[in-house]
Amino acid sequence: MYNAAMIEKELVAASTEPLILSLLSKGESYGYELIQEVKRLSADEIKWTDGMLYPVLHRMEDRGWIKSRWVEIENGRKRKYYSIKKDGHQALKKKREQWTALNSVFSGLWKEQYV
Amino acid sequence: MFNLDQGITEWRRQMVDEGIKAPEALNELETHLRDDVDHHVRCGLSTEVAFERAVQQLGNANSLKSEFAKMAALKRRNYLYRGLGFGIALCLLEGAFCYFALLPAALATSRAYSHWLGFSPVQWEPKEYLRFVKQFMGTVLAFEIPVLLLTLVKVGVLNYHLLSKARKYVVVANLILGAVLTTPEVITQLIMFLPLQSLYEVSVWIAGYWERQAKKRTATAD
Repeated sequence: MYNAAMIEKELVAASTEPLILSLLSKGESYGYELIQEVKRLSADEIKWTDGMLYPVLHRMEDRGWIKSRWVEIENGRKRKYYSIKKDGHQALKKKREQWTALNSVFSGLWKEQYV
Repeated sequence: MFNLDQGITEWRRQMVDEGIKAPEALNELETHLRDDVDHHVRCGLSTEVAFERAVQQLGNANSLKSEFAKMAALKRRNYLYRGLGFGIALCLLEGAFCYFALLPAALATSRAYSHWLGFSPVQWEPKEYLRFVKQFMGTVLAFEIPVLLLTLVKVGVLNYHLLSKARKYVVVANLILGAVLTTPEVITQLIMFLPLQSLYEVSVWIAGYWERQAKKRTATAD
């Protein structure tokens, strides 16, 4: 299987918010599940330090992109679930346009080089 | 034998020692830690090793603290910007209130007093009138005090308890402001005092509401 080099941390940091927004646009989720999903989708190429996700989630909540609620799961344990808000959908749309634009620039450049 | 609950209690203590003190953030991190421990245990690790791995993967307290501190600084900056924006909007509203409501009332009261005391109405010189209007419009700044108070509550300098305790002093201060910033009689002093005190009471109520909401959030997370 093709094994790309580990994604650099600056790029990982830049992609964190669009990744979270994209995952939450599919439905409500919590921090641990978001991390596992990103690991699965990136075949472990994207490595977050788990605890660092939470300040990002709190910042996004503060910006009004996402909202949270505590849900009792089992044995009195509680888990904080996040879901996307209307402003979050708008932010995601903007970020998606930016990443798509970047992607098409690189695709065009590299296509020219390798044909 | 390793006790997971004891391990987590010790981990929480270390986090608090390092400066991560918000109970809600700690509860969320703890839930994450327990989820990760469960995952490792399901994969066949002992609880002790699973716990060590989960703690390592979560990140050390120092770097977590710096990330949460960045977040808190950003939050404070946002509150300051919001306070500034709200302050400017309120300043314009108050300017309109002073110019279109309070100033005509003050001038009319001054004329009524002159008439009542049997003096001829004051003939304003342009320079003197402008100085009076400028002083009067200076009251706009006094109305900014609630914005300043609530911004200070949001950044953690003041709280509901302190604001409630200071009420008696604020009543006196507002009466003095009402006397100093308006014409020297009781009616305009009261016209000035009432909105100032009302705004202070609204500020105290909002600070109390924020505090109740924060307590409610913490209780839900526990």
